[in-house]
Amino acid sequence: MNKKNFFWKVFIVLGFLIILDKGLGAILQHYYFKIRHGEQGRTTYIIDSCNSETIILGSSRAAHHYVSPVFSEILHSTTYNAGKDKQRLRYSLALLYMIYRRYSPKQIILDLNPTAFEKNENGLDELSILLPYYSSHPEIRSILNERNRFECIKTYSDLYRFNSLPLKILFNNLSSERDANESDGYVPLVIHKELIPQIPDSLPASQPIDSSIVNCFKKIIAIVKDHGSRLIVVVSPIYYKLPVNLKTLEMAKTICANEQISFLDYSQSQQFLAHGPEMFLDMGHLNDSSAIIFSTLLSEDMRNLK
Amino acid sequence: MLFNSFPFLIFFLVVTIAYYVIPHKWRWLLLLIASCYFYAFLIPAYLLVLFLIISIDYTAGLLIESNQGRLRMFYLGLSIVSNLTVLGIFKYHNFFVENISHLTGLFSSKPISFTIWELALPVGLSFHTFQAMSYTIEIYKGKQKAERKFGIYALYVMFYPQLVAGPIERPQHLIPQFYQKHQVSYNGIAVGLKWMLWGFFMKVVVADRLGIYVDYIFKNADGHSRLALLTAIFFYSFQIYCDFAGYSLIAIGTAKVMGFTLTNNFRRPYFASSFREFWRRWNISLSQWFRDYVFFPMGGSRVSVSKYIFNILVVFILSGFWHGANWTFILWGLLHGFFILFGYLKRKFLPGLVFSKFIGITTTFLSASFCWIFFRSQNIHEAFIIIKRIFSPNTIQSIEGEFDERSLMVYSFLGIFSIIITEFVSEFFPGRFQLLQNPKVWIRMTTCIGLIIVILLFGVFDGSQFIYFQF
Repeated sequence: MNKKNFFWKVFIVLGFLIILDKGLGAILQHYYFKIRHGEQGRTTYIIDSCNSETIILGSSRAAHHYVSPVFSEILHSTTYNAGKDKQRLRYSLALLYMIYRRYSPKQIILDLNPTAFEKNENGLDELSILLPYYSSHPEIRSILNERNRFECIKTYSDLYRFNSLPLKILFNNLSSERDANESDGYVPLVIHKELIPQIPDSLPASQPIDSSIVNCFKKIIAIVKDHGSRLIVVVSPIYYKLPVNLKTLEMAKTICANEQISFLDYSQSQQFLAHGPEMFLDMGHLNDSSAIIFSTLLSEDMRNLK
Repeated sequence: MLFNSFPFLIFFLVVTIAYYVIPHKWRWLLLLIASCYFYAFLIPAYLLVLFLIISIDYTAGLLIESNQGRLRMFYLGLSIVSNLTVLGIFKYHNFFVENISHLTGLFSSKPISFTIWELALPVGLSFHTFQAMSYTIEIYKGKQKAERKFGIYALYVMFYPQLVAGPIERPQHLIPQFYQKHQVSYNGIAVGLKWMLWGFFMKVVVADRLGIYVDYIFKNADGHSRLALLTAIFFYSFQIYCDFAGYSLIAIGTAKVMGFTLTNNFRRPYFASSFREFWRRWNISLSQWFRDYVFFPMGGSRVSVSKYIFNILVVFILSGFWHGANWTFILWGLLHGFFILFGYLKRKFLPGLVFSKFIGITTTFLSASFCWIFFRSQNIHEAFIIIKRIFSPNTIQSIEGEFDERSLMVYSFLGIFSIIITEFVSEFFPGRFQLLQNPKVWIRMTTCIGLIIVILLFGVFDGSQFIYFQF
């Protein structure tokens, strides 16, 4: 093979690759945004269609602890639970950026994990679920680019943005589950796991505080305030005896006090812990019936807030 | 630096272009600097460890060559002891002190306690110490002349494509290539790039995808059903193969692009019909190292049956121990030794008992997969928990999990299927139905484009390490 021949072939391969990358990427994007249910449908609904007055944000503890209809009924305000398993504050911030582009909810409830500010050894891999929104929502690019130094280059590929998704796109387009807009976002946990009767004394070994996550928390407060919404930071019950000076909670409390944001800490609420493990599904999560009790308690407390 | 990372792609492009642009007399220096950078990307301080090994063996090589009689043996011994000492300090110290402490605890109420060193293992230490040792041994045997240029010798140990996970090259094969002036060969570049592409496919599409399920199951092995455990073991057999063979292919392809030929390290090992054959196909360069430098000096196979059994067990225990300072690896090696001996005794005492190739391949694969349980487990206890759960009649028959099992399983089985089909064709129809090496250019190009698209769509890009880096 001579030089000219070689470079022609490289040129042809690259040319076809670019065409296929854009072509297949467009097809995947079309079918991705057609999904109306499941994990992807729920995320797209929150970002592009939801117009509830109250939005609940946070990780799995948000998704499984805040029963939206209870809030809607007691607060007389339509509520959607946008909590997501395995996600943390960066995800909530990204959602807020995208939601505020469209409309301003009256109220945001942010569930804060008692260790939310600690460094996470898994990095930011979990944010990959937002990659399909990279091109249509430029406001989240800075967050996604934090995943690694080369993310902004990788995302030039349309296919990369749908990495590992083709089968989910196929299955979800074929499935006949209930649409995300027909639900309220709350995901009940009903399976019971055996927990030890005694409340564990301490959380797993604590990690150092990650200042970028703290900044993320501050950004959430800033953006909510800028848009005139009301923010309530809530720590929901957890099946651990938390130390009184837990860094994340201390810092969050101070930041909220400085910013005049409501901070409600139910992490050690005896209403839940006094019953032993029966109100919990696992160490970090309430079961469905306890979630209803917690949601009622919280929404009544919120109603009494100034 | 990891092959499956974006910085490597940039590094590879820059180094390859620079290699062909600069004059031949400076190419060794470019490769040496590039190799140092490649290694320093992980833990820079360990470059010093590498240079210590290089300096010792470079000097030992010169001394072995320039001396006669027992002095030669002395300098060889010094070189080997130095290499093993470095290996011992970083890799085996904690294993030995923990076991001595445990052993003395059995006989005394006050066991001897030692300090556990918190040292990170230099990446690929076992590979480059073994490569360095093969240099002095070959000089001692008179099969290789001592290298005069320190830089060339350093490059022999540090050549970046095979620095951290082999193939373990012999000096006769690699050193002369540093002196050859490699002209730009577009055929060679195309072949190298295609090997790299297939290596990336094996690593990021198959191995890393399988690793998600394997890690999930092995993290809490006693909480899963028999079917889940069997699936994880089956997956792990392919994960470790695709991880290591993928690395080797990327290494060989990277070198090929620059005109270097490295030893082929894998030859479809899961199509071996016996364990003897398995070790002629799996990690070939390591098997040959143990064969030439341990097994043959002990007498090899031209000895009595009992001595042969002893030799095989020693070699395989050492091979297991080479992989890691843990009883799990020793047991893994020992099991392989037993399976080799089983085949040997069958051939010797029951020569008429011949199974079909299909039965041979199936039983070898199943036995090798069983051995991987020990290789993957954190400790012996965990390995036996898994075995107990697999063979327990009361284990629930279901695959449970907390993540999207359905698409993960489909991707995993499709990955395994593509590997099996490709290897099956290469094994039983050599030279036919080739895609990447097809005589028709449009088939080759379509395959390349298809592979890149598959990698982009189904690759796992979490920058996970290659399993064999830890060795």
